[in-house]
Amino acid sequence: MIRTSRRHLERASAAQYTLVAAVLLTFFAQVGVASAARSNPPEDPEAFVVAPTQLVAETLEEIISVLQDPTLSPATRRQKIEALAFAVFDFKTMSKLVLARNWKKLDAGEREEFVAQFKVYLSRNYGSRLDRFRQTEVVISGARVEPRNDVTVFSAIADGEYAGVKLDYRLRQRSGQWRVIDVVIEGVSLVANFRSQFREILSRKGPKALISQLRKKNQQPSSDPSDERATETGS
Amino acid sequence: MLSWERWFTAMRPERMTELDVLPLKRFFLIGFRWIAWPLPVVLGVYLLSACGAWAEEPDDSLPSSVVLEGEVDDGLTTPGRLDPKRAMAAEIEIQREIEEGRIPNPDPWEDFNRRMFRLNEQADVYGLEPAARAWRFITPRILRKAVDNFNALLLMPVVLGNGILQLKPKNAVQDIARIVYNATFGLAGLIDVATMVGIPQNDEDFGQTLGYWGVPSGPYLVMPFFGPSTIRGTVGRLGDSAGTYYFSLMPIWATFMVRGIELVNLRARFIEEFDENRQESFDYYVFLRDAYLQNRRARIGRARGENEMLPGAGEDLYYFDDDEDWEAEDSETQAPSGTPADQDPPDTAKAPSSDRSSDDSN
Repeated sequence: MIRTSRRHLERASAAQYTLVAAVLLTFFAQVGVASAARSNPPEDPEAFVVAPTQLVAETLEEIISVLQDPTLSPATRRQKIEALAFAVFDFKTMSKLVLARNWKKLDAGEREEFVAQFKVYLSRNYGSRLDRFRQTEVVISGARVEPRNDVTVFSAIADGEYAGVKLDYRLRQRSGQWRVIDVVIEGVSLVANFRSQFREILSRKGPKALISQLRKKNQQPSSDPSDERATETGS
Repeated sequence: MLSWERWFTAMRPERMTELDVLPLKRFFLIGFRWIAWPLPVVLGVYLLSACGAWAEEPDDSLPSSVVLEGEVDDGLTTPGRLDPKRAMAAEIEIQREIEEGRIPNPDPWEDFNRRMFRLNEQADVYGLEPAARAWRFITPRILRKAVDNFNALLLMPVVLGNGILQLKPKNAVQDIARIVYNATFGLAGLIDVATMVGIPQNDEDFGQTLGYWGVPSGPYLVMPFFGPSTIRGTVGRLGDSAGTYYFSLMPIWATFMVRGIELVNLRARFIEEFDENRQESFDYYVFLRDAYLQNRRARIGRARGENEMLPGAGEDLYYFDDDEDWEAEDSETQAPSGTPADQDPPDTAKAPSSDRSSDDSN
């Protein structure tokens, strides 16, 4: 008697387990599908990393060749670099990351405006910096897959005045295309730094004030004569 | 450390023989007497002016302090001019974010730090920067490079000592080789021969050593004249001064000259960077603080052999929200009709659990 009942119990529980397992599996499958692309680590990290590394390497090469081209005028050099950078950077994601949770507080128009202004701001300010990196060789030292399938490409400046400075690029794949979402110079992340600068303005004065402050910065005369164009694109 | 009697003796070297001090210590005291007198005065003036700067609210000169009706507050006004209600709300918001642990607050002494920062800025703008410009004007690049190399060699004992304290024999060997090469073939450090033959310049200081052994950074602290630091960084700097003990064996004017030229030379390398950062940043104080803290964190990570930023350390930075929202945003961009105001409020409960691990700033 006891034996049969126990066997019965066992059988019941086995069936139940299967059922529960099946339910759980379908549940997780459904939940998982939404973020499968991002949360599953790649099977072959080394192969996974090739495309973003190549992108960074090619872009750097092109930028350096533009910088070293003596026939270009400062303005055209600037324009060419901007075109290269605009193709590689994902300004929208950068803006989102910079604003973090405050992104939600902006309405659609403000978001667009912010992305546009932030783009102008970055190209103006980092463009003028790039001009100093004339004779420079950059060596890519490796890449790493980050927890949610971003990729960080590590590089370092190999010669010149800034020899040894480490530059890391974080890339994210969006609809099949790799784009840079952050630049980390000697451990200092662009996104993190702007996030903390903007946080205070946002929480004290709101998004409108931030955007107008950004616009004001973009309209300020800059020491670099080659970027008068920047203010036009910003409006 | 010094009793009062010794303090006064330090200022009156003719009494030095009355004290039974070791020769080495006597050297220290002789060196000390030169700064013994001005030190309290300088510090006093500095602190007084710090209080003064606090009282005067130096942003008063900004013209946009009056916000007209209907005009957008462009954020260029001082925080002190805010509508108190909004200021309160902002405080509460920031406080809430800190309490949620999303933002580790690295700077609990911000008021004091901002005052010190302002004074350091003044000291830089009126003292150091003109000196650096003049220095750059009168010296050729190769001389500035030689000064850099020479100072790097002077500081090598610090690097070596900290390499040893971090139990890194390979680094220590590299450092010794570097000292030997540069001091001999490099003409007493003027030429960086070691780098040419492939001996790397290690980057160590006592602050990193403390971080290496797990000492937390403590709050951010702006030191008068010395600039951004943390509690750990300050202790580290004191520790490092033991590595350059030979400075106290030199006559005091020589020390001041060497360190002064080193400082001006270093500043001359970054004139454009400083200008740009000042001009472009939205809040130069925050910019500098974050840059300093992040850079220190990265360097300590490197000292620990984590070569680069920890994987996952940026989880909160790069994924502050759940994924679905990002996908929704993507579809929204294709058909720009959605009103973002209707979207779900940010879900703080889903903050990644790895937040805490990334909080240990330096």
